[in-house]
Amino acid sequence: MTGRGRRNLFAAALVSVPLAWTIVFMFAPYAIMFTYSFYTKKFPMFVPDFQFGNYLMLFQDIQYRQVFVRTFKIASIVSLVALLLAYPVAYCLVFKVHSRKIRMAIYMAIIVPLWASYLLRAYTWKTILGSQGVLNSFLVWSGILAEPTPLFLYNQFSMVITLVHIFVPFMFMPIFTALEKIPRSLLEASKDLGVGRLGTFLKVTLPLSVPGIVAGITFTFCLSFGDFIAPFLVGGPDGFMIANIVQSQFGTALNWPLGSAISIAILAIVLLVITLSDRLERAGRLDLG
Amino acid sequence: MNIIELRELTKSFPGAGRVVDNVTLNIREGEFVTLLGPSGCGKTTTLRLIAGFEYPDRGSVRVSGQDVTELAPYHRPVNTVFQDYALFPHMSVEQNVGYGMWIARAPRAEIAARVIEALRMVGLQEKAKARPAELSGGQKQRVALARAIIRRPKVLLLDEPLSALDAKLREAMQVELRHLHQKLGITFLLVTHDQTEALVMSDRILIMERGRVVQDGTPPDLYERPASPYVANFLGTSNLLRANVAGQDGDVLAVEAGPIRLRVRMSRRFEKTEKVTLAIRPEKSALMTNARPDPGRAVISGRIIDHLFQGDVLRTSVDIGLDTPFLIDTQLASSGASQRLPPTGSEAQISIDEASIIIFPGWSGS
Amino acid sequence: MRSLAHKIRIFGTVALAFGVGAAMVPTALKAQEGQLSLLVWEGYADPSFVKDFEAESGCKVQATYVGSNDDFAPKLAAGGGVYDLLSVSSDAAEVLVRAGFVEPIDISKVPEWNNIYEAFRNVKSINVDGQVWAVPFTWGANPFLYRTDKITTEPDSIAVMWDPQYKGKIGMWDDKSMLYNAARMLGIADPFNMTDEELEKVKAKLIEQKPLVRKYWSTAGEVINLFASDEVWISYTWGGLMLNELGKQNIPVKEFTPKEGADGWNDNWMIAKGSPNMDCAMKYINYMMSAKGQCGVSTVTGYSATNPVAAKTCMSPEEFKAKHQDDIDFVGKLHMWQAPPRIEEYTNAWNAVKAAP
Repeated sequence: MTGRGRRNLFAAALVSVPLAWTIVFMFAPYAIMFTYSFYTKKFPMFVPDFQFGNYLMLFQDIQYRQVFVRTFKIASIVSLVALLLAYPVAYCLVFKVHSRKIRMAIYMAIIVPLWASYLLRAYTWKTILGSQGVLNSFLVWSGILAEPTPLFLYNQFSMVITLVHIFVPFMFMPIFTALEKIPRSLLEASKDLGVGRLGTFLKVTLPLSVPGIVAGITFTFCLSFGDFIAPFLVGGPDGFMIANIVQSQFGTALNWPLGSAISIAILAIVLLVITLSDRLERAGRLDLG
Repeated sequence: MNIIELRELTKSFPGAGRVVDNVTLNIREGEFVTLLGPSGCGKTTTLRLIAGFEYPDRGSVRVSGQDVTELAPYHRPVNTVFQDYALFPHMSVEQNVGYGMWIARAPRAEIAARVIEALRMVGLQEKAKARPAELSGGQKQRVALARAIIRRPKVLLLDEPLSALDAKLREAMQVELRHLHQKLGITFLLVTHDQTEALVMSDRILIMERGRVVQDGTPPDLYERPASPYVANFLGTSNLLRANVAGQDGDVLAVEAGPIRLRVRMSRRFEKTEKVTLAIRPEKSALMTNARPDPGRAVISGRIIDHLFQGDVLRTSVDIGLDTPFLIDTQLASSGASQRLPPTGSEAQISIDEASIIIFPGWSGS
Repeated sequence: MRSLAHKIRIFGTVALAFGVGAAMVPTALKAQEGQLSLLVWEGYADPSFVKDFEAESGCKVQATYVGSNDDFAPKLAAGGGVYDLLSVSSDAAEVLVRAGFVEPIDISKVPEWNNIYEAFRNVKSINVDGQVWAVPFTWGANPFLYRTDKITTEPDSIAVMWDPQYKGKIGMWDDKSMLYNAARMLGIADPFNMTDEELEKVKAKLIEQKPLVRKYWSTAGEVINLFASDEVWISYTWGGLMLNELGKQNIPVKEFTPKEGADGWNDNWMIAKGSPNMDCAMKYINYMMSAKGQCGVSTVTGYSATNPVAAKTCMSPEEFKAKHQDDIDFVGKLHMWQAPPRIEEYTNAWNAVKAAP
């Protein structure tokens, strides 16, 4: 075999691993789920069929609309709060911390929780926000509250807090990267041209960090949209999200066809968000060359 | 009238030490002044201290009679052309140029007129709608210039503005900058490490070394009367010969450098055996063609190492028995010397214009 | 961050990181021979009696817990060969039989079979197509539990779960049986056979209750935690089990049976289809039907035994009486769980309650 032949074979082998991975773990499951979504539920399980009843159900039965809207709302709030938290931190880190060592140390401190178990982090919030939790104990001890308030846990507030905490690194990382890429000379040029700090931020820094913001919102929104653990652990009676419906359709309801149809709908929404964000980013595509 | 006055300006950076060391200087209105020096000599930091991007540890900056040391960049009547141009990638050329006026809420019509005027000044009016990414390096340079002059600053600061351009374009831009300076009539302060750039464009050159200004003068001044071996070798090239004074007889000074003995006209008094450094320009030296030297020329002998063809100039290295070879530049166009070059390895006599030899006390580099 | 493909790639990686982790769990528990894998309610594989079984039989026991009868079918539907033995309530047994998820039982290999209360042996849903599919081993009532230090007068009706006084302190089980309880409170004659109209009424009643509810819980551990951490003062419970555990933690709680009646249930052992551990499975069933197993479960959970002959040898006379072992008519007073014929509408109704704002 020639050297080139061997190289081609090697390249093919290298590509085939991720390709096979994608087919086996991504396309195959989605293809199966897509097929199921046209089946019909029949006691005790379901039978092969081709009909759109499962999709129609999503529009006919108000419960699915209610939960889709709620999930959309929660995911939006989580993205917004995460943005409001992550942006100033990333900004200060990039522009106000001059020591590279300290900057990287803080960066890691923000990223490291990603390596901690999701469940552990969610449970931690339970112990903080509970009626006898750390927060309530402090508020009662300091005399701010006469007695513990149940308002912190088992509602949408606690879900938002938990989801923000879990997903904020996904907002932080792309914003940090975008800000770090802005040449310092652009900010100096702005000031040189007579524009103050606020003007420079609004007209130069912010527009140039838009790609990072868009990427961060995309991550955070999509991850929160598909979450089912936060509602389960820290959510209350009004915390049922769309992924919980999927879980219950595949689980207790034994209605895999409907569960599949909802999953395909979620996939469609997520792909739509990703496409939109890509468009948005491309529209404001900035070449820093 | 002085437009810029620096007084005892000092700035240190952690790890880099004193980058600007007690600099005091004046720049007159309308001058084209260049800060020249190798990288790390403090010239860019000096410029940034004037622009307001750095805050000095000590000393003061006055622009147009006003102390601006404490002012933010956006309150100083100066504008900068950045080394990397620093064009805003998300704005078109006209938005870049009009940026400052736009934020200051100047009337639209006025902005439009001034933008066109500035772009016309740099010859780029047809690119008003383009994005920076669509421009060539030279065009970006012009946008950066237009943007910096639109507010009619008292001083234009240029930080190595031509370093990213190729040689041809750089030469053209040198001329254009010179013209722009004449047209605008404002003060230009240029920072560069390129001596040719400095010599071509400036009214006055300030040479910096390790945070200090070591010489200040017009280009011919500096070239012909360098104050130190450092300047002699930085502006153009000089053969620096370490020598000892052998004796002095009236105006004639006898010096020895290893096997070489020279007699130089010199009014200044030296001690016998005092260490001196001789600076001899390669272009003031020649390979001797006659058997006898012309009057006023000293002669040393050596062996040809090689010839370097540099287009209009031929540079010949000659081993004269010292640590470093002696360089001779011959203008080719005038003499057609390439036709009768002595071959490599052959003996040669070098004649030197005695009047051009400069003597500095002490040995350079020790 | 630049291209769509890149973004999808990152997103995919993240999604996989979450997804793959979840997918790994069942495979890790794949049934092996000699390793008996149980899918059971909490309390049915307690070390206090499992240790002896492992020593006697040479079979190793590993347990996975369910939080609802609705959990069995999906877990089995996700693929066979993972679990050997299931503890299923009678009302949920028939689905598993019909779906072909379980093996029939050879009762000739169950020596204690004839000592089991007839009422449980003869339940229709475990006798399908002329074969026996399950061995009944325990039964009980599901009362309500409340904190005696917070609620000083003993409630007597399910209506207490709608008392605004206890807003934010009410716990409900995340299970369709909440529909039966609400129906009973509304005076609906047959909660297992509700008309659409009745089902709507029940649904509305439960949605009306939502602002008062602190949490729909899923496991015994969770509801114990809710009581212990002062999140919940009153909740539906599985009887006995939660009371015992909270008692150990010195939390002042008490059970009460509402005047509308309590849910009654009985649990059965079933063998998963294709179990490679048939032998160990039968050994475990027989062990659980013996005195050691009957009293073992009863002690841990507080539930009653289905084999009074065996129970009599290991319970004190007081305990025997308290657990209604001599009074099988008590079972008749309970509202024994049944599989609603219109199970899908019920499941859908309960989901709609949870989905409502």
